[in-house]
Amino acid sequence: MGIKTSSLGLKHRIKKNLSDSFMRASIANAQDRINRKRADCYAELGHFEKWRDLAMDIRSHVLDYLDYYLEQFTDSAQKAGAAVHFAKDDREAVELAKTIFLQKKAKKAVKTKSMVTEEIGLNEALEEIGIEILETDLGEYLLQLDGKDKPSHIVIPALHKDRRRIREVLAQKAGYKGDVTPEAMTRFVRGILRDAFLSADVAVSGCNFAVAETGTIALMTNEGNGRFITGIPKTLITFMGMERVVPTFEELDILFSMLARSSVGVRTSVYMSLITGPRGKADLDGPEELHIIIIDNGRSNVLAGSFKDVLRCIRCGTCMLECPAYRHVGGHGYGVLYPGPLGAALVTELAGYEEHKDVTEICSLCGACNDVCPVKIPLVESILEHRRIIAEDKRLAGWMKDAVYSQYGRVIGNSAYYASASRLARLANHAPRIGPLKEWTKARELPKIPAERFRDWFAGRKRKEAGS
Amino acid sequence: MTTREQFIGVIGKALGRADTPANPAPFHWRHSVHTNVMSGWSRDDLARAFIEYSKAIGVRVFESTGDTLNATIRKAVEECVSGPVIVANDALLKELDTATALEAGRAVRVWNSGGSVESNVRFAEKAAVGIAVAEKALAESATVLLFSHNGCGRSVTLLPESVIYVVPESRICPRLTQGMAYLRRNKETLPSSVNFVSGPSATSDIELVPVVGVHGPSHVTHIVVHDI
Amino acid sequence: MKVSFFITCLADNVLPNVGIKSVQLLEKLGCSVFFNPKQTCCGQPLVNSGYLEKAKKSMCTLMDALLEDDCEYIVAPSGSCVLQVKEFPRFFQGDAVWESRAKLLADKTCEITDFVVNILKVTDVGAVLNGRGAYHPSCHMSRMLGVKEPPYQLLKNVKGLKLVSFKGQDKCCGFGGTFSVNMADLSGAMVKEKVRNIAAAGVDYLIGADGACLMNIQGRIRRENLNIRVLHVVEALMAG
Repeated sequence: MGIKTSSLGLKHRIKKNLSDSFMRASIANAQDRINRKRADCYAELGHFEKWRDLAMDIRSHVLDYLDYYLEQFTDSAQKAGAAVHFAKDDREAVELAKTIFLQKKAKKAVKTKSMVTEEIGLNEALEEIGIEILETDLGEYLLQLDGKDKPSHIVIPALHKDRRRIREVLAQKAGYKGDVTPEAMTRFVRGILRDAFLSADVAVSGCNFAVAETGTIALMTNEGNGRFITGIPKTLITFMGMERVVPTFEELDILFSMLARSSVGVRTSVYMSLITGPRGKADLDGPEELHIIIIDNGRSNVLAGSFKDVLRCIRCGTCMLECPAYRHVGGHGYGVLYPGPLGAALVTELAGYEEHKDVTEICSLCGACNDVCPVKIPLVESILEHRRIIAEDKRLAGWMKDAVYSQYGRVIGNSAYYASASRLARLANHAPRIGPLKEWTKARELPKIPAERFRDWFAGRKRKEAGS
Repeated sequence: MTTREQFIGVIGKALGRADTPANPAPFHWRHSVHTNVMSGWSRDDLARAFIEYSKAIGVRVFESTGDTLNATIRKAVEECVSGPVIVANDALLKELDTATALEAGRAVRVWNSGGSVESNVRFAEKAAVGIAVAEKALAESATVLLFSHNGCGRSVTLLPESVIYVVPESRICPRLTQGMAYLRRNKETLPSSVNFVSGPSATSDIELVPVVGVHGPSHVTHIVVHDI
Repeated sequence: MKVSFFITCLADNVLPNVGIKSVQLLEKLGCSVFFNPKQTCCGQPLVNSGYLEKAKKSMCTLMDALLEDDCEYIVAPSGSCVLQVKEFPRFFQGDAVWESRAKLLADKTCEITDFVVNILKVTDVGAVLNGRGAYHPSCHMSRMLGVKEPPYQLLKNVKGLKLVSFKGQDKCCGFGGTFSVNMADLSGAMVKEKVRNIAAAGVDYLIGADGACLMNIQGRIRRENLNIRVLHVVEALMAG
């Protein structure tokens, strides 16, 4: 799928999603419910700030020594019998996967939800060489079935779909004849996916975390597809963003504890699967081969620059669930794989300003995300810094905009200019509703500009005092 | 294709160094909030918490002693849908000869106790109930720690509709912190597949409505054995 | 106590009554208030659009104006503009001339409710305002500047005023500076929800401490012809 998920321009995207009333109601509901659950869950745990400190420290520590921990992880994983591969970009990652599929003469694959595989466009590439790859996370499966719909949230991908639409898709594409309840539809999909798990040649997974000391891959799922993926097919290919490492199981404790609570507001996910190498010699089941593909795809550039903190992200989706802008436009409003504050802070780093600079505009700088991020990423500061970088490149920001802001800067930079301009502003009540005034008045009235400014009142009062 | 040396080299460069450090500064823990959770709780307190939260997440709970364990397991099995039972090849269950105790009325098989590799998996696929023993259990989240190996295949606790976990009370610890510390202590002998499992397979992907049993077991039972 | 009043450009030009009531409140509580007319704008609209460098001249102008009268404190009726001033030392880090002045200004600057409660140690200013009121905590002031309690502490003691909470109270109103015009449709959706929630609480007054958020919310209230009066907290505190 890649980073870019929409060909619509910013304003069109926003308008289109604002007009999707089911999606908006559904996201508002998800925000209200999950945010309350999360708050309760952390209140019960206590010491949220200290937990955040620990999680942040662990992620920062790993990034500071990422070369060391990746070496250690690679050695340990190889010792455990895994094959470890390295991909500098999406193209290499996809090529590595294709090679394994061809070697295994594999035709059918099952897959867990994984942001990094979306990022590299894995499914499309495998389908091109005739491989049938089935998403097994219920939400992702439903999106795939509906003609490649795109996830609107990184944890709850089908958040924008209601049960009626899902019933329709299941009936049309999979022959479903049952009722519209989530229970019946889930039961139906269970049957389809169970068969797929048992007949797949290859399993594909992402990786929530990777333990350097033991070479272990850690996967969190609630549905159990993480266990199936790592338990049944004979070959397992795990894709791992290079920054996913933790030193030992002890640090993993903190990150797992935070990820479950932050993502959906529960004490733990149902399954945490820890995979260290392929099946043991005497085991009767489990993968016979384990391939781990470690992916850079722009991350080393982020590591070297001023947005390094963003790499701390553990993909919990909390920032989008707290974001008032995401609330109204949903994941699709951003037009990129990673939506919400995380997307605004990360996407231009991974995929460039040229194409994605407008993602940084979808933010009112309210700071709600900063307060809940479990690894304390300074999201608002990062978004502001992106805006600064864009503004300082006139070609990116636009000459016109630059000229307008320059003029504005000149006026407020000089007391006399400012005083005259503010006197002129008294005429704004009669100004035509064009440009910014037109935009403002789409949803609200303009304030009435009073004849007397505060400074006039104050000066008048002083004159009176002097006179009396 | 990028080699390991090239890949790590780029990261080193991004971090401003030519060589990977031989040893990083150890991670500094500035708080101990995680070790303080349920610290000082008695074995009984932990068992109570484990049981209470198990019930809260929809797990059926039985309490037992070693003497009555087979009878309790039998009762638990009877409450599951009818069909074959697959039992982990575990020292405790072997000692009690649980498989024989269950045989009345149901097909029972002990994992890896004969037959071809395929036949073991096929039996598990058709089984209605799987029975395994928890390596450890976490009171805070009603979690069982499960080691999958030749004695207890991944299939045993994954494929059946219902799974029964025997949880010796002495193995219940406060939370994931102790669970992870246990894994780290045993890092040299870890099986390839280790799972922390908390209740039935669940999803909320359709309109956020919680539904159990999307892929894995729909029914989970915990049998807490107080004197083991 | 000598206080230099930082009106903020928005209040100066659009909401002068906020300035007038602020001065009256400070004087009522025994302060002697200075106003330096050379002050302009803190530069926030530029900074938030990425034009930090173009904003620096206005910041220097503001620093000179606000420090000129050598007052103990500089007080402003806007958490957002105070937050911006508190960022000046970071913006001028390493600047031989301006870094120290930025630090001095940041140290002296205080949001008005914070000043009244925590510096003047007053929580009851003797105001009377009859009816039901809801308070909208603006994001910059409550979340980022960290001034959460003082407005509530003061409003609780306003006689006749029944403060009620409302759904999504602490959520952004959608103003966001230039965001309100750059992303007008989205910003509009945000303020519509905010006003819907305020209206559902059945209040006579919507009270806030940041003129920009109030201008946004009031604009929507007027568009919907709702009978809710929008007041800056100083206007509520000088009522009766």
